Amino acid sequence: MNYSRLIKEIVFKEIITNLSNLRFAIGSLLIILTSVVAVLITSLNYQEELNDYHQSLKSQDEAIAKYAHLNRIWSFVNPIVPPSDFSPIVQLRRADSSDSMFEDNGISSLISTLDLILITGILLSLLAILFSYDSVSGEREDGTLKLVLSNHLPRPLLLTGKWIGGTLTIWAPYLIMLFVVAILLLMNPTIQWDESHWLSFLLIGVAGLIYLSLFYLVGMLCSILSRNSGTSILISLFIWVVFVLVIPNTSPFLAAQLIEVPSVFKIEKETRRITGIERDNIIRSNSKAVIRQYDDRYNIHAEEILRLSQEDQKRLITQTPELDGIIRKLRSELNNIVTEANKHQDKIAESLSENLRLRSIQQTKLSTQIASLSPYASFLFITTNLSDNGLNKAGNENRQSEAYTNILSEYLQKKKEEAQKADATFNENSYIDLKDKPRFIYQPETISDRIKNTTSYWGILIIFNGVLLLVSFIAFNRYDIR
Amino acid sequence: MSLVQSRFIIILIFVSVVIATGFFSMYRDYIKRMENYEILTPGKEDAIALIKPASSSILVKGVDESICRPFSITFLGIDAGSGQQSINWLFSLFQTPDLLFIISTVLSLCALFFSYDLVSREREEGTFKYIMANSVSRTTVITAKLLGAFICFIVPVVITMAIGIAIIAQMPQVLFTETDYWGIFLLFSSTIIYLFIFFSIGLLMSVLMKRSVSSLILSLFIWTVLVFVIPQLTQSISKNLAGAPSVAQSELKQNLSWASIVFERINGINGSQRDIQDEWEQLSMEFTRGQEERCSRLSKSMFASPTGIFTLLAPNLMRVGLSQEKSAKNAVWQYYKSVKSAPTNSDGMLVGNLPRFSFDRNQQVTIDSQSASMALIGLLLYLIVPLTLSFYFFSKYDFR
Repeated sequence: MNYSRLIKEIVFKEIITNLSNLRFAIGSLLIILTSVVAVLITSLNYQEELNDYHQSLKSQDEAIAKYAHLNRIWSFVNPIVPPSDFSPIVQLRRADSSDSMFEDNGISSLISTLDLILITGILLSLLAILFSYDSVSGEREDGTLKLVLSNHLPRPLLLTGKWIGGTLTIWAPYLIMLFVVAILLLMNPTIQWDESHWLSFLLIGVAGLIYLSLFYLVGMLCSILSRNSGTSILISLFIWVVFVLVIPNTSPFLAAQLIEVPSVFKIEKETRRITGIERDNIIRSNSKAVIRQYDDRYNIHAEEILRLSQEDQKRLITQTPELDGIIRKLRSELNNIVTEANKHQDKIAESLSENLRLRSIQQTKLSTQIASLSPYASFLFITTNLSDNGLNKAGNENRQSEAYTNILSEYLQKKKEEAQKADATFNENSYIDLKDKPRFIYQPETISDRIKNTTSYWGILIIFNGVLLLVSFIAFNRYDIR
Repeated sequence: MSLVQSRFIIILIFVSVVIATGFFSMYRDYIKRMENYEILTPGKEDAIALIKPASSSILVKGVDESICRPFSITFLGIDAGSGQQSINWLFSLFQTPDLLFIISTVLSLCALFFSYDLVSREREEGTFKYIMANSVSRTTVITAKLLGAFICFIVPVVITMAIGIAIIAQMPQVLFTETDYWGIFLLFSSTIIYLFIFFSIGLLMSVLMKRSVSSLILSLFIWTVLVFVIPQLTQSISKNLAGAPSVAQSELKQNLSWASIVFERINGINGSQRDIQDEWEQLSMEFTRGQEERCSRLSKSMFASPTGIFTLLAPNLMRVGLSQEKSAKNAVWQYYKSVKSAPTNSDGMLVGNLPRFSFDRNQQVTIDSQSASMALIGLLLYLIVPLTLSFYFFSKYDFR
């Protein structure tokens, strides 16, 4: 007997049955409509975010042009991260800021926003179960299963056909949805995607295909294991609830029980003290000692001179030119004291926050592992990582900000030396021209890194698929078709 | 009838397990937050406003995480410390498994499971013909079926929830006041109404559809739209329409503002008319206005689905909602006003003999009764629609 022809026929029949079903029509319509509306709204949001970003850049530049000075320089040059290019399809899952603003309320933690990932992860997976919960039990109830198997048809072949046909039908609305979304993205002039973006989009699409086939298998397995469709759908929906709603949501809370993290605020407070008051005290006492030395050595009142305004200092220097060298030397020594104190205190503060950081990483890792027991979470990890909106985003941003800060520090040091050379009275509070400062440019993780980060989750999804398929085959082989 | 089904047992066990898991997670979370609160409780010299976590947040967390952030008062204004959840990204990736989540998603789904075949199954089994052959009016039949099945569903749910709450109330560190119990009572009442809505939707589908399976599928579609699609879409829309500056931009503006004022002062520009705290207050109020506009728009548009209404109602009843956050912040603001002119140390922190921040959540935070009653009315309206439609279509129902 020609098996390949047989399987083709079974697949074909399965597709036709599903397509002619009411649930297919309603489900597909619902999914496609929802995704169009969702993507239109998130694209508008993206535009807003972009405007907001440019607005921020502008106000920063204006302030720098007018007020830049070394003492409070980090309030002016804080790097600003642009909105993610992917936010029209994958919304950033993080509070707007890291909660550090008084006025920010918790509104975004109450309800999440709808994006393509939620539509696939929740709505389409539910639809997949609705397609498959009666794929076997339904045929048994109708009595057609007996008829089919009374021919020379091996059971694995029938199941394979059913599986392929069913999976193709759930893939159909998903692929249509992706297609429509891709057109919407292409038509939107604010969204400028290059090849790497589209590659991510494609991979997100593939992840969705594997994810949906998994839920189709859940429904199919339940329909094999339970005698009637009513029980089958109840059990598959319970599994769905556990996978999609229960496991992911409890995972961070469970991990927080197992791995304790010291109080964030306490460490912030401690750090502020160490790098603030304590540092200032050290600087003050060390500077006093140096100033006293200068007073004794040159017989001047260095402290009073330094306290004079820039104009008065200039006048003083023109009156007694030898002061110029002395002040320069004193300033550079005082600068060294500040740098040394900063270095020293920063080191202490760093060791403090290092513990917090390690603990947080451990906790996040554990909760990710617990959550990976649910395919929904794995799917989320894949898609958010691929779109550079995931677990690594915050760390990546921090790393780049730090790198930028280092570059900028060097630049500022150079600027300061130049300014001091030109003008002995130049100090930390004088205006400094930063028009040619290096700009912060956020680099998303490279596509290959992003893919690398998701490998384990792909593995989980595929293993889930394999196990479910295997169990289905075993169960169906022993299935009592009466 | 319902009691002997296997479905009844399965759902009951499932619901109990989910509620137990949720309560356990939330209780432990509360204990953690209490520990943190104890550690952070400000000393005499600190100008920090810190609010104690509410016991009722074990049931519904709402925005309690945001309310209980430590607010330090500095010469720059009010600075909020990071919440403890900021360290683990997964907290913001997934929803909190509290009672609100369990009721609004899991239990509403279970309610559908109980009612989707109330009518269609009896037709399928042919028992309806026998019932209707007696001289019982159709209204009586459907009312009896509806109430009987709903009681079978809701009584175990309410009992499980009540047992959970009773156990939690006995735990150390948990203190429910009279107002809390009043809130819990209202929460139970609104839960019953909310679940009854989904129960009636299931009933309506079972009247409209000839087969139980189609009835279940349609109910599930409606459930998805009401529970996920509409509330989340309204959230996206409200985010877009607000047009207010983002958190990041406001933070930037505040930073630029104080640093430029200090610069002007040191270098004697503009006669130094600008005041750091005044400008911060202005920026802060401007931003708050935008946020509030967004909140009020969101609260209105949440009426588009019962789940939206319930999502805002439950935190309000547990006094951890948006309006409670507003009153808590008002208190912090008052405190800021009272200490803002104190001298500062080189760290920017206020020092000296400062009054302590005192805030009694039980006295000062109340249920926003106006929006609560609006929400209850909204839920009742949502209940009436599927209920009347079911009765109407059942009166024309064809038993064959």
